[in-house]
Amino acid sequence: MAKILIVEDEKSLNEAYRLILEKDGHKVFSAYDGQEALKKFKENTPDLVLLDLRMPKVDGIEFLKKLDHAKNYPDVDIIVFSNLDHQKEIDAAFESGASRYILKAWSSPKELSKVVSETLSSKPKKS
Amino acid sequence: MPKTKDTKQGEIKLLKPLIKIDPAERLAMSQKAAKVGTFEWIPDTDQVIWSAELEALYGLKPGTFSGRYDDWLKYIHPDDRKILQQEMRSTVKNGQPFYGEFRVTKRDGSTRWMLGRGELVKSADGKKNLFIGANVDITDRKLIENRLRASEQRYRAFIKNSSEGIWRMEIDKPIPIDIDIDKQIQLLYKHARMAEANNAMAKMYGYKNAKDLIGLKWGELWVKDDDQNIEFLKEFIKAEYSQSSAQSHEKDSNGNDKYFLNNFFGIIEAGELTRLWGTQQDITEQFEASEALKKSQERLTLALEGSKLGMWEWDITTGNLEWSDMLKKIFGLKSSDKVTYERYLSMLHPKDIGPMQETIKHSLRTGRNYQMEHRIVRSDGSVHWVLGQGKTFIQKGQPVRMVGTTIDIDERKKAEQLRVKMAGLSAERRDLIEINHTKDEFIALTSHQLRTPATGVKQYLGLLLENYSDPLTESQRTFIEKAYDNNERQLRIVDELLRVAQLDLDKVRLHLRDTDLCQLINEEIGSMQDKFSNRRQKVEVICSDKPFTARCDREQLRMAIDNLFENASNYSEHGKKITVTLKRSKVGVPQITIKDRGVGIAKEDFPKLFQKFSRVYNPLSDSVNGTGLGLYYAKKIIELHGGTLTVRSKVDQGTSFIVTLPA
Repeated sequence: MAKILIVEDEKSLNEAYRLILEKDGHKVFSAYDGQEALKKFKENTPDLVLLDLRMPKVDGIEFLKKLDHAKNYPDVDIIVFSNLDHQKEIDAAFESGASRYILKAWSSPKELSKVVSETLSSKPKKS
Repeated sequence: MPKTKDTKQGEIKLLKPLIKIDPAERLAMSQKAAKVGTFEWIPDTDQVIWSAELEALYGLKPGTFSGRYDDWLKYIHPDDRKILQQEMRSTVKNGQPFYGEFRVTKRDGSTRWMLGRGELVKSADGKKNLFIGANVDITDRKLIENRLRASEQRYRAFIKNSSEGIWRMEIDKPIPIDIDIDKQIQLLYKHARMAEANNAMAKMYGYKNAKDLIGLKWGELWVKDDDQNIEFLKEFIKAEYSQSSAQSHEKDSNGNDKYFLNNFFGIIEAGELTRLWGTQQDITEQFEASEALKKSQERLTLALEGSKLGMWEWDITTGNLEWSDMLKKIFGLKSSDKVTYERYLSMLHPKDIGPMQETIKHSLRTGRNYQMEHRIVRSDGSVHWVLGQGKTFIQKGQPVRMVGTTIDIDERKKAEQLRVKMAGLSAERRDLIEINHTKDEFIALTSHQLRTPATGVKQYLGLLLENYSDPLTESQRTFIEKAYDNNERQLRIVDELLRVAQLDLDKVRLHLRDTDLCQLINEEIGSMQDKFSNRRQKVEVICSDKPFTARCDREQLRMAIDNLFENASNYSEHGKKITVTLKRSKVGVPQITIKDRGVGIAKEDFPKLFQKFSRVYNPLSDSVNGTGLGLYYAKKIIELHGGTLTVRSKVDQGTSFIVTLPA
């Protein structure tokens, strides 16, 4: 079981994700914008982040940049869950350290649960 | 024969004798001491009287001269005889004193130089003339003089033929060497004048002849305020008026800049600089060449930066491709990125890949240079215009190396395109273009905003359907499934709207790859299996070759074909077979035919079939479930590939969609 940070400004979606992932047995904590996410991330480093891109204050890409993910937290998986599908955003997300980019409109609860568990299990085991 | 001593007695008397010697003897002694011989000649009778010393000068024993004018002439060197004779006769005629230098061949055959002087004396009655004169042996002086002249001639010849400029300048008003250096330089410019120069020197200044240079002031030749010149002169003065291998900047007669390498020194007399000697070489060409080189290198560096010129070199034997940093920058790559030929091709605009491959192949075959304006697609999807140029090096008939440049011409090209576009457009159309750009932004945002609430609906309905909540009754499940399906449709419409909008705005870029269409079709059928199963429709695939390769954008073509399958399925009754045939058409291009045995399309509906949001009547459909965009999208995508989408249909017999792609 893993520690998962959900970063999603849409309250109802944030809650739906929490419900799905908690049911799978994960320890979940939520942030509603990038700034809050930074704070929570640093207080308690998660194993995986479910990250929306378009958010108030600090957006998803900025969040990744401020975190300097690749340098400081290469072990933390980032799954971008966004409804933006411009190549520009997709490239920016991957460049900033995202390992998957999912268009959230096309992901049902079951699929979300599957993506998360796949990502976690593909991670090399820490010795 | 009368002796000279008798005739000259009167003169000798004027001297006061110190010791008592016979005056005639005294005369003879002084003649001997001075190597002077005297003579008297009576032109009327050609009688001549020589002194003993004159006989001695001519190598004769005393008293042996015949006393005849003609015999005298015999002793004169043949080359001088005629002129001497003429001049002596002319003295007789005009009474002017004679003065001449001539050679005498002595009795022993040796030659001596003589200086002859003489004058005509008239008798008291004025009837008789007497020519009185003397000869002095000047052979020794003459020898020294000749040696000097030869040495002078050698010196002159050297100066004349030297390719170096050689000169002397005299200073009109000598310059005191103890005054201020700057003042000395000013005075040099003002008072030093060319006194002597050779032709080589004159040519350096654009003159034909050395004499054209004579009299010119230093200040007229040198560029007076050139800092380097002033430095050079200061050094010259400090080094006690001597300077070597120093460069000067001067002007020639046409005002052109000239550069010389100088060696010169000054002559100091009594604390004043009076004269300068020097030599110089013209180094204008070397100087200008090195200046030009310096400038052209600077310009090249600037040009490379400013013109956004990237360079590459391709070693064909090893396959190694080197790109300059600027080139990588043009392609939106990082300096550390590695580039291969394949990667290069993949970065070209799909429409330019083929032509570029052809161009390069041609150059490799023929060794010809090529030049081609084309587009590249950066990783952010943006399209840039560049000018590519290349050259192939062929050795023993084989291409071994290619080098080239790529220039970013995007701004120019886009401005040009816009200008051409704008020129032909009314103000109204121009506004439309503006609106189109706004529309693009609008659509991107709108699709995001439309998706967000639908995503929420999807998640919560999904939670219900996937039993995250209390168990559902059968009817509850059915209702929720309907709501879920409608929500899915809404999401699909948003997607298609976005795709079509991007197509309409020319935002779609194809990533062409060689693709097995047979595999692609089978995968697509697999992903739609649920739909076909629900309608109990069997799909048959007939493939002429396996693999069936065509060049296409896999994802885009799949979405286009997806729409054709949707259509075939929706317009066919349950249980009807759908047949997909892949083959080469009569003209050899890949062709996909999707044939259903459904309700068919009425003739009058044909024109609106591929229009946006058009609806064609479907007797099988209980509700409107399409988006009205599928066929429009499919046709556009296929045409973007350079292919065609056509339809054949008969009511109640079925419809065939025929896709062709370029070979």
